[in-house]
Amino acid sequence: MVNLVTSDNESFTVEKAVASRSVLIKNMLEDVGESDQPIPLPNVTASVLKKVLEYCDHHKNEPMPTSEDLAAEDTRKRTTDIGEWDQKFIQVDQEMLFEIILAANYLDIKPLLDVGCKTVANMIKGKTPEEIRKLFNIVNDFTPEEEAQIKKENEWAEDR
Amino acid sequence: MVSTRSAGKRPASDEIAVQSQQEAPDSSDVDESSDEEPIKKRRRTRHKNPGARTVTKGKGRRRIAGRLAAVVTDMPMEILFEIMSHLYPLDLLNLSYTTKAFRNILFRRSAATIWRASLAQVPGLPECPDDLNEPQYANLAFGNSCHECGRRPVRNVEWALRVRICAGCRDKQLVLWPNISSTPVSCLRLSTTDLKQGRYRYRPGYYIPEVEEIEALISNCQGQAWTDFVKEREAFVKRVHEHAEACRLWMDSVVVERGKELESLREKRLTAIKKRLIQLGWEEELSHCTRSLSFHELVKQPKELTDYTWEKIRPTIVAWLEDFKAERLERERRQAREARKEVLHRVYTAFLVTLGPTTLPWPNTLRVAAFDSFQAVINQDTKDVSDNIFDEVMEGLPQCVEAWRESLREALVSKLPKNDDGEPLDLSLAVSMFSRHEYNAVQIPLYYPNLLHHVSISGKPLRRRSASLFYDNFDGSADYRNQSCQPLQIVYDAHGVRILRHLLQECGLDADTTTPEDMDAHDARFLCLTCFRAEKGGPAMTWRQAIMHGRGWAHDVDSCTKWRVLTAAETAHVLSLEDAAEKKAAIGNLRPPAWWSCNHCRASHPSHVVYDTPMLEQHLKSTHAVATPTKDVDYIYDPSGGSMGPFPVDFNPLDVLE
Repeated sequence: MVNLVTSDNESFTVEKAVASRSVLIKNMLEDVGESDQPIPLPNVTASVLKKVLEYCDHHKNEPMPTSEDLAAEDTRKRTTDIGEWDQKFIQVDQEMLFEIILAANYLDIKPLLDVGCKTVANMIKGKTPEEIRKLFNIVNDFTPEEEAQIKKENEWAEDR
Repeated sequence: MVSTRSAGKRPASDEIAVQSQQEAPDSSDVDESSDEEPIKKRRRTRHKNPGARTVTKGKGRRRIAGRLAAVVTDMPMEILFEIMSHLYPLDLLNLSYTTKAFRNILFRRSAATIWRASLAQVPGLPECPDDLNEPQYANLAFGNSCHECGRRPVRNVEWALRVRICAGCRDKQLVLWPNISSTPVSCLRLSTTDLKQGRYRYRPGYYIPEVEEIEALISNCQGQAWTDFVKEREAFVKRVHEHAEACRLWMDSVVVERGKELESLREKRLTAIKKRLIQLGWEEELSHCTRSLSFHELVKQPKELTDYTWEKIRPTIVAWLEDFKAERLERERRQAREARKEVLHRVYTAFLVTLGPTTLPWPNTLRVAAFDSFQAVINQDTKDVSDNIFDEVMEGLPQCVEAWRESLREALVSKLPKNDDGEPLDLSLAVSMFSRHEYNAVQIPLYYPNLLHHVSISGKPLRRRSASLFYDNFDGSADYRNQSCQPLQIVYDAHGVRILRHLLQECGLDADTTTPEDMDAHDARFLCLTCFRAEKGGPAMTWRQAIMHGRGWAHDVDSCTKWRVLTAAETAHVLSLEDAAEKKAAIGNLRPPAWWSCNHCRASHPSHVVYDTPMLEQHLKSTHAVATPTKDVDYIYDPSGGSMGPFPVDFNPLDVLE
C-alpha cells in the first residue's frame, strides 16, 4: 500500500498498482524502494486526488502505455473518441476538469491527460468564435477592422 | 471562482482578457462581427453568478461553463498544444479569431505542428502545398468566407488559384482571355471551375491579380533570365494543377461522404421514430406509411432523436399518422368499391350477351350500379371483390330493370302537357314529342319507347373496361366524354309539336289520335314555304325532317305554319329524287334512312355499333363473311340510332307541271 498526502494535508492509502498509474509516483517508489513514508503531492488537492485515484483504480489492470505507443499515436490519425466509462468519469464541472488536467500533467498520467484534453477539445469543436468566447468567458479584444483583417491575413506572425 | 496559479504562467502579452466576474458579460459588450454566423442555440438559464453559467446537458448532468478561461491563462503551453492538436482545422481558425492571445499562439511558426496534426486528422486531405502555410491551407480548405469580399458562406474553392471565392467576385476576378503581351499562358494557373464561354461552352479562366503580377515580373526579364523564369514558373504551375486536382477529388469525396453520413443520420432518426411509434401501437400503420413518413419535415432531419426532441415532435407525428390512416382506409374503401364495380361490369356484360339481339333498352353498368340492391353490395364495408358477390342481386335484375323502365316512362309522362281534361297526353301520340335539352344538341324528334335507348337515359355504352367511369368521385359533368350521361336531359318539344300540329292539319289527320307510326305510314312529303322561291322551288322532306328543318336559322315561330303538303304526283316525283340521292350517298352518312346493328357482334358483346345500310353490308361481308345478309338473322333494326328518314331534296313544283 502507498500513502499519498495532498496539498490540503489529507492522506490517501491506495494499492501500489493504483498509485503506479502515475509515472511520477511510480518513479518515486522505484527511487525510494519499499518505505512507509507518505508521498507528498503539493500540487494536488484532496478532492482532485480522489477523482484521479478513481480513474487510476478503474484502469489499474490495463497495461501502461510504452514510449513506442506514445510515439505511434503522434503519427497516426488522432481521434477525440473517449471510452464510455471515461466519458461518464469526466462529466464534471469545468473547474474540476481543469484541475484534473493539471493533476494528470503533474502526476504524469498520460491516458487521463488525454481524456481531459480531448474533452476540452470536444467542447470547442464546431463552435463559432463567439461561442468559444462565451464558453471560455473571455472578451473579444479585436477591433472590427482588426477582425476583418485577420480573416484575410493568414501569414505566420514572424513573416508579417 | 476562476482558479489562478502563479506557477507556469505565460508572459502577460499572451494573457487572455478574462471577463471579470463582477462585470457580467452583457450581450451588448460582446463585439460580434457583423458577418459572424448567428448562434442558433437554445436559450440557457443564467446562473446566479454571472461569470459562471449552469448548462443542463442530458439527463441530470450539469457542467459549470465559463470557468475554462483558466485553461488558456494558466495552462502550461504543452497542455494547450495537446488540446489544440485534437481540434479540426476550422476549429483552430475559429479559435484564432476569438482573441489576440489565441491568434498569437496559433500564428507562431512553433504552432505549425498543431496545424499539421489538425490537418492530418482530415481523412484523404492532400498534404499542405509548398506555396501555402498550414493556416492558409486550412483557411482555403475549411474557411467559409470569400477571400475577396468576405461574404459568407461560400463553398466554391479555386484550388489552383488558392482562393475561396464567391460567384460575384469570381466573375470580376477571372477572365477567359488574359491581357498579356510577354507572358506565355503556360505560366498562368487555370481556375478549377469553368467560366461560361458563349452559349453552351465552358472552360477554365485566369486569375486577373496573378496575370498582372506575372506580366509585371516577366516584362522585366530578358534573355536567359526570361527563360529561367518561365521554366521555373511552368514547373510551379504544373505542381499546383496536380495538387488542385487532388484537392478537387478530395472535396468531391467529402461531399459524397457527407451525403452518405446525412442519409445514415436520417435513417437512424427514422428507425428511432418508428421504434417509438411501435411502442405507441402504430406498428400496423407503419407498414403502410414508412416511405411517406420518411419525407415528413420533422422526420427527415439528419439529427439524432433525443427524448426531448421526441416529446416535442410526438403530437405532430401522431396527428399526421392519424390523418394518414384515415386517408388510407378511405382510399382502400374506394378502391374496393371501384373493384366491385368492375366485377359488376364483367358480370352484367356476360348477362347481356345471354339475352341475344334485342331492341329493348338496357341500362349501362353505371346505371345498374346505381340500383339500390346493387349499390348496397358495392358499398359494403369489406374488401370482398370476388366474382360471385353479385350472384344474389343479379337474380332480381330483370325486375330492377323493369322498374327502371317504368320509372322512366312515368318521368316522361310527367313532362308532357295536360289535355283539356287535366290528363297528360298519351305517350304513344305523335304530339308526345321530346328532344334533348342540351345546348348544341342535334334536335331529333324523340319518341317513347325508342328514346329509352338514348345515351342520356340508358347511359353511354361501356365498350372496354372504361376505368374512368368507375371512379368513385366520377362526376359526369366534369368529363366531356360523359356529358350526355346525365339522365333525363330530355324535355317535351313544344316548338317541334307546333310544327307537327300544322303538318297534321295539312294532311287532315287528328292530332289526338295520330301516332308517329301513322305519320310514317302516311309517308307524306312537305314543302317548306319559308325557303320556297318561285323560280327555284324549295326543299321537300318527310315529317321528321320537316320538324328538324323548322328549327333551322331563318325559321321563326311564324314559320311553323309555313308548310304545304305535296300532292300525290309531287310526292311521287320527290320520292324518285330521294332514291337518286340515296344511291349517291357516301358511306358513313350522318342521317341515313335507318340504322342497323350486327347480330353476330352482339352475340359476343352486348355493346353494339350502329351502321347505315352500305356500311352494314360492308361490315357483314368483311368481318362475318355474310354476302347476302338477312334482316333479323344477321342484323336488326337498332332503335338507338334514331332514324330520320331520307334527306330533304330540292323540289320545284314547276318540274311536275311540265
